[in-house]
Amino acid sequence: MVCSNKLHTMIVLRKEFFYFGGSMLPEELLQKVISGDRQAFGQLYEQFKSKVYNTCLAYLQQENDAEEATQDIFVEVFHAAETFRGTASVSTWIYRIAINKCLDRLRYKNRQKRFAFISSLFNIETGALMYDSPVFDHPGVKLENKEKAAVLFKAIKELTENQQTAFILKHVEGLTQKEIAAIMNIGEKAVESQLSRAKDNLRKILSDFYDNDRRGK
Amino acid sequence: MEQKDKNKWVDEVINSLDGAERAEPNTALFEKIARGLSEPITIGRVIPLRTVSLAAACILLLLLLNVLLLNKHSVGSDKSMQEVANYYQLTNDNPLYNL
Repeated sequence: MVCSNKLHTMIVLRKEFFYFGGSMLPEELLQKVISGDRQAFGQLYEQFKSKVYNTCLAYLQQENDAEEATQDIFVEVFHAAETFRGTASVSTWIYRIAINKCLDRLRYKNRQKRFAFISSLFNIETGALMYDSPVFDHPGVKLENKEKAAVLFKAIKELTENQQTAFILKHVEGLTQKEIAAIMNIGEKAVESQLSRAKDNLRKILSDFYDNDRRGK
Repeated sequence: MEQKDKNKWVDEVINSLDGAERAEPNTALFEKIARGLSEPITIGRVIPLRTVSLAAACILLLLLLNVLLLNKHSVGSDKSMQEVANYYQLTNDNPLYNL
């Protein structure tokens, strides 16, 4: 009886902590979003905007693309809120939407590149030549690491989708293997395997980059 | 020595994201999102007119080729049928039973 009273008090205190700070739990915000509460949606956006934007940035490696993707993701969150079943956390659900949107964009870009020989290489609207930016400068990376980080992001593009996802969630987003497993809907051992393969492949890719760079010099 | 340098460089690259901070999106992004909420939802992807035109052109080209090939085949087949008929004496020029 005493224990359950303590637990009840802890939950109430936790809720009060969140309410005092002006931020509600994501699950509560999502409930309000379902009924069309735009203010609640705004708060949900504030809680998740950095996570979503950084995930998009890591996949798409262009700030404009990442912003567009973030926009699409939150619009989908708003419209799909009523489909949220609560089997995973709101954070996991939003990350899944973000990853799927990013992978869709990457696949679309790759298809465009493949058919570039029969389609124009110029942007129809602006007439400018479309090209892939060769170097990605992540705005959050420390100055002394920028050059090496740019090489790392180039290498990440060569990984498979699952390995990219596992690596980005672990090393860019800083999530635990348990969280990654929930997002990718696989076991923790499978996440470990993907991370291990990602690192091995990155080492091979980077070794090749190093050798090619030496040969070029 | 070079292998050692290479491995060191590879390790440094893999660890280059250590201590990186999260980038923040543009402050005006939420306004764009809010505007996007009022727009009707597009189900599926919008296919550009250019792509549709290209696909239509390819289908027309294939149909044209098929028509041309069929025409060529039908002209040739009349001739070949006549040759078969002559070979097996299936024409009326050689009546076997003329009583």
